[in-house]
Amino acid sequence: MSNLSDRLAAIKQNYDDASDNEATDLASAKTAAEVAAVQANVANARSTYFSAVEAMLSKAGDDVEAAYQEALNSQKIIADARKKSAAIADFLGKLSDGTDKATTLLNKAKSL
Amino acid sequence: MINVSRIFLLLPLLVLFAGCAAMQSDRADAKRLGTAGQAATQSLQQQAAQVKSSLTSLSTTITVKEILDCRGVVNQAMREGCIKNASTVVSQFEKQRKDLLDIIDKRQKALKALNDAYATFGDLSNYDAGQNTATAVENAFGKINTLSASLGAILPAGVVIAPITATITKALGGLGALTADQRQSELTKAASKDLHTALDAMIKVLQNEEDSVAMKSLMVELQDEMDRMEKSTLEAGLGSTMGILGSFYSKVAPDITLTSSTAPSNSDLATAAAKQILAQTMSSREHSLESAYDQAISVLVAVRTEHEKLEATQGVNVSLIIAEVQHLRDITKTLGN
Repeated sequence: MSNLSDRLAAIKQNYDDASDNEATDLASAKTAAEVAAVQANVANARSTYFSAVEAMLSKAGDDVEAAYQEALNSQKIIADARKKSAAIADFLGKLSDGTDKATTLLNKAKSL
Repeated sequence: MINVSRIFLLLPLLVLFAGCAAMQSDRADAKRLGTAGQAATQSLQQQAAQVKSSLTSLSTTITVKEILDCRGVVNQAMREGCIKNASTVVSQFEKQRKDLLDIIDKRQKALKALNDAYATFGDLSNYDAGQNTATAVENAFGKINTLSASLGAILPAGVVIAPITATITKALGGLGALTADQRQSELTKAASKDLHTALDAMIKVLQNEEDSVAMKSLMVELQDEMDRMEKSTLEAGLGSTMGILGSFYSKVAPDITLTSSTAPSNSDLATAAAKQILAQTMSSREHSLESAYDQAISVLVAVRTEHEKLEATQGVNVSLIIAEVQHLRDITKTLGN
């Protein structure tokens, strides 16, 4: 069972990973669209994290165990993809998926 | 032979002198507790001020980092596109940033109001008991009204605190028959109860699990943003590594004096070493930031315990508070504060 600390940590980790690896991911981009996609993913992850913090500071959240587990799984997939130097297009898909899951986590908390 | 009747005649005087001594003690306790309360709230106030400052400059910090991260994009057209996007992406989280700034600003104001109230509470002992202190005290504690409103703004939805002017206002109404000294003593206890109630409300907010997790995460993340910007600056070749290396060597190997510049053939080594030091500093600072926050709350809890003693006329012992404050100072020293 996750707790509040784990849930926010998962969302933060998603953002931190994206931001920490942004320069490397941008250097791997082959087209302007891929550059924009990398930057957009980091921006989305940032927005999701700070929204989560704001939600927790202004009202109580609730258990979102399933979404939290999805975010954890997604982070593992992304880490594996980076290690295997997956093709950038496929990799961007995984990045975006990870951020979407973190956003799902946040939206579930806000709706409860 | 002891004159028993004379002892009985003296008894009212003895009670009066004992009462005066107790009232003097109440005033001294108010002074000690006022000072301790100020110290306790000041640290949290400073932490909130630091968060507010970081949030204020956050958009620029992130934009600079984003731009520098374009360093690996070689194709000129793509590079220009990267820089252009980097300059605008922060607008996506601007609303969250401003909302957080508003939350922290309200928190800082509540802490400042509590800090001011403790200063006034400590000053209560300076009032001349021979004068009519009722109006002066009531005016001074008008700050508690401000505090009540400030706290109301930061409490989670549905949480209500009782009116915190109730005790002192009630006390003022019922003190007509007392001597000036007795009145001041009763007002001190009443003021302590009001401050106690306000402190309870503040601690309730800060100890709320969700609030605590979010605040500590935010404090760490704001520092991480600065560190990422620094790292990008180094990796883009724009920053000198000498500052980071020099600071490290001065602590662990003070006998070594670094040369003023790095040989070009070793610049990659200097950059790699500086990044390693930065990563280690980030890691240890995370723990210290979280510990400083938790410890500041522990200091408030220690102050609350002494309120209970003052109200029970048990005498205030600030040695525990001093120990907690010293522990807090030890933690914040590791942050370079």
